[in-house]
Amino acid sequence: MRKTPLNYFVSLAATGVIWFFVAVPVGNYLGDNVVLETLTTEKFLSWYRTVLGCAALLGWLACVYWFFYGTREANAGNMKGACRVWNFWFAGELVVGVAVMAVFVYLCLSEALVLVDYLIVAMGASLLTWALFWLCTWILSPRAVMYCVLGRR
Amino acid sequence: MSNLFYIGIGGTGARVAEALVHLCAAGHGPSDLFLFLVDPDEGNGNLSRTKTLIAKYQDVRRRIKDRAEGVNFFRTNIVTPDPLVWTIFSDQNMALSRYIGLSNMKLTDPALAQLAEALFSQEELNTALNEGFRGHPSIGAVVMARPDETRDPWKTFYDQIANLTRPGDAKVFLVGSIFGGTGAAGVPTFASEKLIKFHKTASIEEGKSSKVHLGGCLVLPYFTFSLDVPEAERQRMHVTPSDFPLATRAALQYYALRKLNFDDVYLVGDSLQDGRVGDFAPGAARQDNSPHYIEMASALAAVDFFARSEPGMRPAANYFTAARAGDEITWSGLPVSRSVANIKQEQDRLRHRLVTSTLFFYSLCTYGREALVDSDIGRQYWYKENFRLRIKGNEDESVRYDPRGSTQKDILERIAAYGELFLEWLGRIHQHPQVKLLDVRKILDSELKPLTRAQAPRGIGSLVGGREATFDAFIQDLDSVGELRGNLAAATAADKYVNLYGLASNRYARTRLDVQAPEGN
Repeated sequence: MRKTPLNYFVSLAATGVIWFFVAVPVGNYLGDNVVLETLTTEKFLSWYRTVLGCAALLGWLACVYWFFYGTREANAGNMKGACRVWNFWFAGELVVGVAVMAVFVYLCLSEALVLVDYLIVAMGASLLTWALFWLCTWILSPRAVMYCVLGRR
Repeated sequence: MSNLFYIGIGGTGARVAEALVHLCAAGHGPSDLFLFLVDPDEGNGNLSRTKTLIAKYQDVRRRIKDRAEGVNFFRTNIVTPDPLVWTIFSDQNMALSRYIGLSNMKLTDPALAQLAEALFSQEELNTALNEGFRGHPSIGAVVMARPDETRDPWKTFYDQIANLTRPGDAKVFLVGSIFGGTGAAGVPTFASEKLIKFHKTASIEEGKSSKVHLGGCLVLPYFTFSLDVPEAERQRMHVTPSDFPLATRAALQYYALRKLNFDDVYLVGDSLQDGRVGDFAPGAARQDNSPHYIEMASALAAVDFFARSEPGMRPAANYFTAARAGDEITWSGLPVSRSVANIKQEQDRLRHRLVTSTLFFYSLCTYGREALVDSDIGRQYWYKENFRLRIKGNEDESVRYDPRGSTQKDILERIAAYGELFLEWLGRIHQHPQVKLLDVRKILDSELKPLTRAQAPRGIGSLVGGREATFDAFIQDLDSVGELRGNLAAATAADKYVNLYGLASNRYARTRLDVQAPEGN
């Protein structure tokens, strides 16, 4: 599973599965329970799924870059540099996760969302950004750079 | 106990032994080999270099216990007697007149003394021989005719032959130049009937057959040196390159007339104009010549001889000669086998082994050493799968999992130090412009030390010409080898380290440089 392009496809499938889980069952639960004042439930869910879809795309692209980086000859002997790159992308995904939350909060400023609703959205954003990147790189990183992933070092 | 014996005679014999030891380090030697040298000039630079090399080889080989399939470095068990060198004379400044007891002879047997004085000039009779025979083989032939069989190296040699039983069981290979002094004296002397071939320990059924299959490599002129002979030496006996052709012609005529007991004879030489190997030196430490590809060709003759199995009947000598098609020395021009049918396969085998050993030694000398002190190496896949950065267990854990531990690191440093000698030898061979085997300038600096990875990022990748790859690809190949399994999983850390680099070298040669191992490698 660590071989290219298999890891590209497996990570894409994993991203799709996580997005589906967060967007459909969790989204429907959120749609059923959230108190909306200006938006319709359909519009809210559309925004929710689109924003998380963008986050998922960015998460997957980060994975793809890491997989590509890890198979390049030039990086095979530079573990310090490779680990720095992984840290950078992981931090980038954390920022994306926060940005996704910020966008969502901005879009729902006029709504009466409660803390639990925000926590559910934050969980979805995390699953599709830094957690997705961490999980996919943990399982699917090319051998050369697999020990750069946090928790494997 | 080995049944293969190499006897290197004189400076050339020592230098061919150097090449043979390096071939053994590359995995191109037999499984066992008994080796000793003959030279009255014990301080000779060439001899000292070979003695040091053999000691280092044996030391390294003793420390490598487990090998993966396909990792053949240091495969040959080279056994040497103590002393390794038969220096002929036990006393310093021995001259021929003293050796034969000329003063006493004049009193007891004046006629014999007069014959000795007629055969040898006063200069030949009175020159000290502790720096060799100075291009006068007639002196050497006298003093080498009676080796002391009760002392090593001859004692062990004869004992081992005595322990063998069947015709041709012992394969003895003599190497020496025929244009100088010691080799030209020793080769025909040792090939005489009673010294080896039909020696009492070798003879079967009163000389009907012999346990010894005797081979010889007669090295013809192949080098020159600076003719700037110091004033002090001009007054003494010495030899210059202009003497070589005449000496060679005389020697060959003599061998043709005299019945030598060789079964196989290899005649190896070179006509290249640019064969300078150093400056004039009559002997001693100053005679430290640069290695030459002809020495490797002569060592390949030994490998070919040892690979045959023929009975030791009374000889009808086979003579083997080979010639280059052009001025360049390429893989296809190396004489590696007497069999025309095998020659391509043997050339491929030699190429594969020299390329992989060059990759192995270079990578171990550079990246291998760096890795042992790199604090980030614990994140490198190949390292993490086989070793541990922090050892919490006992000494046994450290021996198995910590190549940075003092004992294991010391072993790896010894192998790398040998590797530097190997690469320098290879570099010196390639200093002769006609030699086009490997592009060693890509990996060695002007002093023939390995360039660092930063200095030569494409070094090993352009070693054989044609395809190109980087050193980083070698690290990828180390990762591809991954975790060693089976016996090697329980091996010492140094053994694992060596095998990882060996397997990665094989992989790199095959996949990056397109150097394939022939069948049965």
